[in-house]
Amino acid sequence: MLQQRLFMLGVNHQTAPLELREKLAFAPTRRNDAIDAFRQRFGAGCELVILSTCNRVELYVAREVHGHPRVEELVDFVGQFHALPPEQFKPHLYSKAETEAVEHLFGVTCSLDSMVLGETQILGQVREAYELAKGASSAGAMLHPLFQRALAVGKQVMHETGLNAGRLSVASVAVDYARRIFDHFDDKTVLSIGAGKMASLVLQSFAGLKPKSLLICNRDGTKAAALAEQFGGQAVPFDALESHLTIADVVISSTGAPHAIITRSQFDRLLRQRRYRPIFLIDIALPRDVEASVGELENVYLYNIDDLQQVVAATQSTRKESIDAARKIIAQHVEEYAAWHRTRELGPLIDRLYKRYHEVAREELHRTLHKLPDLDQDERAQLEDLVRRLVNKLLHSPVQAMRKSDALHPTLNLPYLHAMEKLFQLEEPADEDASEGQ
Amino acid sequence: MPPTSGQLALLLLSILIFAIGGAASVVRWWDDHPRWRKTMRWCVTFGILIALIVLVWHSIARRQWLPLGDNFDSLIWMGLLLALFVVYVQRRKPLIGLDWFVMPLVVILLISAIVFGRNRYHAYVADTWLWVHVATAFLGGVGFAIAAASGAMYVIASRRLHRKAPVSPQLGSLERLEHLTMSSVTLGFALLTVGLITGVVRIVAAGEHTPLAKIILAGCAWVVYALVLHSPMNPSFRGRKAAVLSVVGFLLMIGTILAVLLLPAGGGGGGNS
Repeated sequence: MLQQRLFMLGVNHQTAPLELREKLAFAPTRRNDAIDAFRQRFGAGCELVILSTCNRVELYVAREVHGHPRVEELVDFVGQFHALPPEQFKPHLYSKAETEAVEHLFGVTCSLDSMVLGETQILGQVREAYELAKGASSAGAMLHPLFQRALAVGKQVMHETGLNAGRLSVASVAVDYARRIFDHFDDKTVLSIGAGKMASLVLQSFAGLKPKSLLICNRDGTKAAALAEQFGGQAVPFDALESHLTIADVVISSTGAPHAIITRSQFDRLLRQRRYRPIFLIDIALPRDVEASVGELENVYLYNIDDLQQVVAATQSTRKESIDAARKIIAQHVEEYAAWHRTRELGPLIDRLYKRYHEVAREELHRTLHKLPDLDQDERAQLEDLVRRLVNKLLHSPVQAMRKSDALHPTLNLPYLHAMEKLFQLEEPADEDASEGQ
Repeated sequence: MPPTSGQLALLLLSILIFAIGGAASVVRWWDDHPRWRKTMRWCVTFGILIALIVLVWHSIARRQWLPLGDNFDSLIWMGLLLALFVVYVQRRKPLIGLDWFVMPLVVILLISAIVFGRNRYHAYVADTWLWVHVATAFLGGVGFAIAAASGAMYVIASRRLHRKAPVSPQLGSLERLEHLTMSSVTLGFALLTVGLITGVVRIVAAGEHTPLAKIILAGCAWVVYALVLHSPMNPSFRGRKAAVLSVVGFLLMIGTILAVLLLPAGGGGGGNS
């Protein structure tokens, strides 16, 4: 058994609706606070990496075998941090432990668990989560190598399987929908609210349609100006958002605002000013920038990140070969990681082996000594020495073979370790979290 | 002169070919293979040619080259113009979905020509006012049929977009459908207005008795299309509402045509318009 326990807890696009995911999301500005709160509550020895993207919120935790937090405690922590009663999100949670957690993380990094199969953005998001944890010193001996390997697996899969080739992107799907609404774009205005990476990606696709004007509206004017320059657009002030919305035909919203910046009541008014011209709103922010009820209005077509990604996901069935190849690579890496981890546990295992057999020998020795009350101190010491040497001699060969094999073939050593644990009954007492997976 | 059996048989063949073309077009929803596009194109072309032969044959038989001389001729012309419009659109900027809505109408109109031409044939009296009335009414009907097809497509596409369902490119963009609807309604409305005026002139001047249902239905259709056309002034009517109204207007137009074909026309003109 591992000395440290690894487990993860999370929600994703398959288990939780967008409304819940945005409530559970850890905004970049609050992730450090969350890590601090976690360590304050469970001790600095615990490791934590928070992966919070638009598709998922996952917490990867490593702790001592009998330490804390347990899954229930982590659920409680998440609820407290977001001021949400656990009953509200518990049915949507999933949890995996040990090898399953490793496999899950590798799958996530390779985008196998993403709504958009083959998207490479997740690789950057995992790296960002890991770097943040590293910076906060919450990724230690267990999570540090785990995430490094996950990133390596992600890169390998993207390079070797062609998983990211020929995929549909959220941006291309958005453009496709825009074409279903508008016939031509030479008289249309595209407005981007926000000037982040996602906005840039989507704008790139819309710039290809050669719209009449491209407006970039952002709180930080310099960012807006930079993006406007990149796409030949025009940076406009954030304060005049309403007037920009009046003239826009396509709106891409991707701000980091914690609340909706386009509301139903606001749009009711705007619709009249727009003379009910159709408008295509693409809300790729999380939490969402546009109130969902805006999409119920006549001539308003509102699509959020889930809506677009679902269309992309529909194309995934055609890429079975790439998925199979990716799974093969992941399986191989999971095995290697587990082997590496177990070899890391070799020292403590040998300690346990010696400890256990010396204990058995001592017990037997005491029983024998009870039957021989006439032995003097010197003779007793001789017998004790004999038993100790006997145990050491008996264990010497298998332990040496193990050490040699570990040095030569760390992966092949895994079955030996496993056999040793079983044969010599060296397993740790059952941990109550052992059955917590799923 | 009522159509002969030969003309009816030929028209039946044309209907069959149009039906095959329509079916090929529907298949393209699932399988957009070029063979279906070719099948559709050939079927529509041959269907039009055969229908034209029927019209020529019928004109020779009745010794009258002026089109729309009787209900058989008028219904075929209406179907033919719709089919020609489909050919024009598909050549200029394809809108596959239009076939799915217009081809059944073409088939229905040609079947109506057979049914009414055979069982309730009547020639229209050849006076200028009546000819203008019939021509504008039927041509207006063609415009409204196109508006109804594009309107129905708009409603479906808009509904699917709102429900975030995948929208087939075959339905075209909402903007194009709206433009097509408004253009067709504008054309149809102008023709219908002329048709209504000439109809009123005939009623007043010639004292012709016209079924009340026909007048009411035509009047209602005119009001509905007037509502559609006023949407640029009252933009809350644009989009889905205008599309739904264009479908409703066409249903009223069908009612008007059925009233012309089914209800007995009394009065002095002798003709039936």
